[in-house]
Amino acid sequence: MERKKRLKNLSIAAILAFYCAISLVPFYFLVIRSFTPTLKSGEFYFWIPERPEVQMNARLGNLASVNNIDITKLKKDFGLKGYIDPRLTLQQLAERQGIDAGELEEYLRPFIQYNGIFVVLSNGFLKSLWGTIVVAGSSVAIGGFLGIMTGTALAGFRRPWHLFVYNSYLLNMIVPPMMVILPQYFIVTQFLGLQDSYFAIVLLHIKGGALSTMVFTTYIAAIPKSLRESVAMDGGKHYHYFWYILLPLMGTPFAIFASIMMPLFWNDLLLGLLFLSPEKYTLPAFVATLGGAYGRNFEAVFSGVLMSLIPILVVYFIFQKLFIRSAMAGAVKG
Amino acid sequence: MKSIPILIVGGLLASVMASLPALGQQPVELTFVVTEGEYSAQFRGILDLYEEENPNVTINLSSVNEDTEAAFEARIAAGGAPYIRDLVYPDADNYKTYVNLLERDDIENFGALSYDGAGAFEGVTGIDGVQPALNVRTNPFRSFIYYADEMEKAGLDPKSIQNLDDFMQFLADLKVYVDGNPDIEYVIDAGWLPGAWGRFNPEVWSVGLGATKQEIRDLYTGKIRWDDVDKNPMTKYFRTLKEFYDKGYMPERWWTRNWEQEFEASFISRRSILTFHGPWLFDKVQAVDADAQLDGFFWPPNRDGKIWGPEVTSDYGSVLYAQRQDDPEFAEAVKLFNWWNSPATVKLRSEAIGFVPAMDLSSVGGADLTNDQYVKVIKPVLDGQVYGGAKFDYSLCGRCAAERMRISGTPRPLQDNQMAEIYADYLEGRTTLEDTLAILQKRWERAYQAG
Amino acid sequence: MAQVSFNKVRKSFGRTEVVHGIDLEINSGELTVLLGPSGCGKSTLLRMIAGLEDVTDGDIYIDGEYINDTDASQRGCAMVFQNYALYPHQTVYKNIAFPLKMAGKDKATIDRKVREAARILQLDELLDRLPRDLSGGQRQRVAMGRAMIRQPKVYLFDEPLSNLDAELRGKMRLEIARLQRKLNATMVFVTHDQVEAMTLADRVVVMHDGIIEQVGAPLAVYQRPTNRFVAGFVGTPAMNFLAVERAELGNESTKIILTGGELLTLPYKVVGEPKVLGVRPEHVRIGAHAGAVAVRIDPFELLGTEHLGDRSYRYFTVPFGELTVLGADNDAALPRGTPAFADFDADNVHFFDHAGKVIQRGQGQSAIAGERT
Repeated sequence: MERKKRLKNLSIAAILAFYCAISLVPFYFLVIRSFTPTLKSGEFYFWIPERPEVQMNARLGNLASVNNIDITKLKKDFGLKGYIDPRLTLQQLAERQGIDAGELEEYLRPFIQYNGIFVVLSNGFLKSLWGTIVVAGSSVAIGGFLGIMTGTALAGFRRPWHLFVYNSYLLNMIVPPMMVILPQYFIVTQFLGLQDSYFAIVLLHIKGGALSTMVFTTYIAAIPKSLRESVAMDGGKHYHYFWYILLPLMGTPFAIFASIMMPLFWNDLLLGLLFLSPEKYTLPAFVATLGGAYGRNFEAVFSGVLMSLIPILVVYFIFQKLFIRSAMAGAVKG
Repeated sequence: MKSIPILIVGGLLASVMASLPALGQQPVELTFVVTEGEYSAQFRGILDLYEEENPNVTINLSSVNEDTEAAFEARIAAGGAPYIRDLVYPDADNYKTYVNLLERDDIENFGALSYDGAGAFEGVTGIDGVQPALNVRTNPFRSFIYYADEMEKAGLDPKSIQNLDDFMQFLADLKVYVDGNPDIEYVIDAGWLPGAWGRFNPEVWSVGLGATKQEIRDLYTGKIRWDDVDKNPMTKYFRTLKEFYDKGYMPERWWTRNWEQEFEASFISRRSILTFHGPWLFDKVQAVDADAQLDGFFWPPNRDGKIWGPEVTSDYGSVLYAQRQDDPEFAEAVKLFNWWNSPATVKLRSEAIGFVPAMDLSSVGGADLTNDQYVKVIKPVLDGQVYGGAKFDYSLCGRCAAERMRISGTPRPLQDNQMAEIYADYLEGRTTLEDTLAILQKRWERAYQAG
Repeated sequence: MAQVSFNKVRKSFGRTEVVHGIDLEINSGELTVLLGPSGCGKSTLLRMIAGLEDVTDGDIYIDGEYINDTDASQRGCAMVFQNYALYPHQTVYKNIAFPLKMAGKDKATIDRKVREAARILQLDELLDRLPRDLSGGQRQRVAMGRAMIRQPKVYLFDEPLSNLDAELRGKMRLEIARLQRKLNATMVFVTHDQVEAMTLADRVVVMHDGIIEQVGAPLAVYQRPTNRFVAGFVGTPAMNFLAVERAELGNESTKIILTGGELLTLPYKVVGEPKVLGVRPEHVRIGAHAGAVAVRIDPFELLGTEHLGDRSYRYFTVPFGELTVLGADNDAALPRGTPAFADFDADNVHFFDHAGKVIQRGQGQSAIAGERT
């Protein structure tokens, strides 16, 4: 019997390990792809391929077009003035501008060898990352808070119009975002004057959402009415109940809300492209602009995707417990 | 510990507030959008010169690509247009978005163009008195491209091709070489892109196979029926394509291959040594391998002794947005527009990215093009050194000639992804040539109305 | 300590009126139990005192102060809920301290009072626990602690013991009673459990269908119910009700003819028209020999016996209805086939008229008169 049980446990572990492996494989290949030069992307690699070398007879313009070498930055870093002819090879550039060729090679090596990562980093990844954190973080924080307030008001549907309000929030779900994108743009930019502002995106993220309303309303409705009454009896006002009793109980629904909405906010491409100027692009918009008309630096695109995944993974690991609790909510009575 | 969440929320709020638009006017900020994002660095370098000359002007350069186009259009629809965009394809559906350059008296450089720049839009669309874009480029040339060193190894000399028979023999020889060489997979590499196999290749290859541009215009404008197998100037194109496919010259199911990641990548990694492409593949190959010996050749001349040449129309031109016309800064935008299209700047632009200017640059000493496509492929034709001095036929393409008949909003008969299925059915033998041409006739009828 | 007064208080939910004009005085320092079956309006009445329900009509006063429009938090009442309503994420300490925190007391005062309350309620060891780690009785005590910490004018209990098991319920009853005496507080206690009412109350208010049926000391309500509802509701097993076919009223005696034609002669005068005779199980016996006030029952059937250890109840069907009778366990079994008699304790027989109101007996006849309060 004991043996049989051990065998059973082992096979379950094997199945789970297999499942885990196939879930992680895409991430693995994402990492590989982040280090695979775009023009070798026709090949299939199981391991990071050999790093390309800097070729001193490569033309500056070709490197700019294909490897996204930033000529303006190069000029600044080497203190060069005037127009740099993109037809020059690196060798010619070094000779004409009196730069040490070896120095130029050293300077460009990381850009060539780890092109994806460096293109992403040198094109304002950190700025985009901060923008994305601000947008997604504020959206989740404020959206969650507003959702809790909405839920408090609507929970239990004590008045007929509560249900009406609730349903109108749910209608949000069936209206495709593209349908309302123009009116939204008008309202936000023309009436509110929020051009090129993170706040515009946050505003659109936190406007009455179907999910937050649904999650919080349901959850708050399940809280015994007597808690609220008890606060009143204990001499507390409504906001005392909200602050001291309700908010601390909102951990689980907030985790549900955050774990679903955070990735959506994080990956929101459309609003970023629409409302922001390139200097302020959020990560998805930033990654999307790495392409051109005739080609696309896939190494940089994959690196951008990889690097924008990392922060959200960190968030998940930090709040792991909370998210697990949200996943268990309803399954196990707590 | 307790105050940490409050600090985080507070911090986020503060930064949201800080991102609210700052009040107060900058001197002049001009938004400039380019379509060719890969040339952003080159464009930036050129625009820097303008900023140096005009210290009050800041140019906000950004690029739009396939992924960002929809959001960009939405932004324009809602009133967020930039001042200038470079590389635009104006047509009867969208031209009102742009300033009609003929209505303004401060637009320069039309006189310097080597074609009728002011009338080009009307010439294509038939819309009277309108010119939404100013184009200074000859549209991209498309040719066969090959690795010269690999051809040498194969013992083949593409430069010796004089006519269609030579070309067919060359392909047959290359096929033998490819079959005997495990590193090389295809004779003519290819992948799917609706623009390539819907817009350019059918016309360019048809002319290469003997038809004239005039016949193709007649086909598109309804003077020749598509299902008229004998007269259709594309009949030979479809037959030859099938012949190539059946002979195994082209990749299996090439219409399913991703243009960039499969097709271009396989050529760049030399799994093929010959393909048909525009100028960009030269740049891509040489960015990876600066020593690559690339060369190319055009289809042999047609029966009129002409080589297909790209038409010069308003396509690829730069535009000013009509929405911005009443802005106080618009005069500055026009100034920049004029500078951008002035001979001196066009010289820099064409040298930087390698297009053949459609402008008389003699005032600035002409453009010194050093890119391989121009030096090795185009210039020999211009200099009369190949195919017995055959000349380019720059006249309007068939598709362009039919633009004025197009029913607004319909897909053009060849240029969409559905075409991939039509190619697939035909090349894999599920439909005959007649069937295919009949389908194209139907698609033509759906897209255009005669008169 | 405070007095609560109701003046023609009505409560409607939508169009349904559930409390029909209540007049009631709840005396200071007393434990008043609102007793009644579910849906009788007792909880609504309590919640109106608390301020958790609006008053539709009429006035409520606490210590003479009109409080209809006063916010619940300002009325000075404390409430113990049926499910205790402990704040689930706060420790016992914080739960008990909550009302003081709301009142803006300083930390030192809060700490002193919480510890004092915890000592009284024997919660000292549990202050750092969360409610979910407590037993039912402990939760109950925490709820009590939270109620008493602010020294409210009126304590309100909404069926606080119904979630406990029987043993604990008994214990907590005593504890509440002890606390009430110790604090000398005004308490209003809602229950549908008459044992709770009998054991706890200084005064019982029996409610039914939104009206007050009777107010009085527990024993008085038991012994002198003023109507058939109270008579039937209070007491377990319930009072026996026998339909009266006809009554012949004399000056010194009353003849009652039951539905089976049996004649019962009572040695006193009854004022009114009795329709129903009520007698508690302990006031009727069944035996082989007829007593002073007896009817012969023939045939009869013993349906079953409920042995409670110290006593047992026997359930009979008799020609004039059904009878529940209290008897000692060692009662000799009734001989089969022989005639039997139901013996009534004449002093403890109740009569009700057609409306269910109790019918008074003549003066000077009752042996229990002295027990009246």
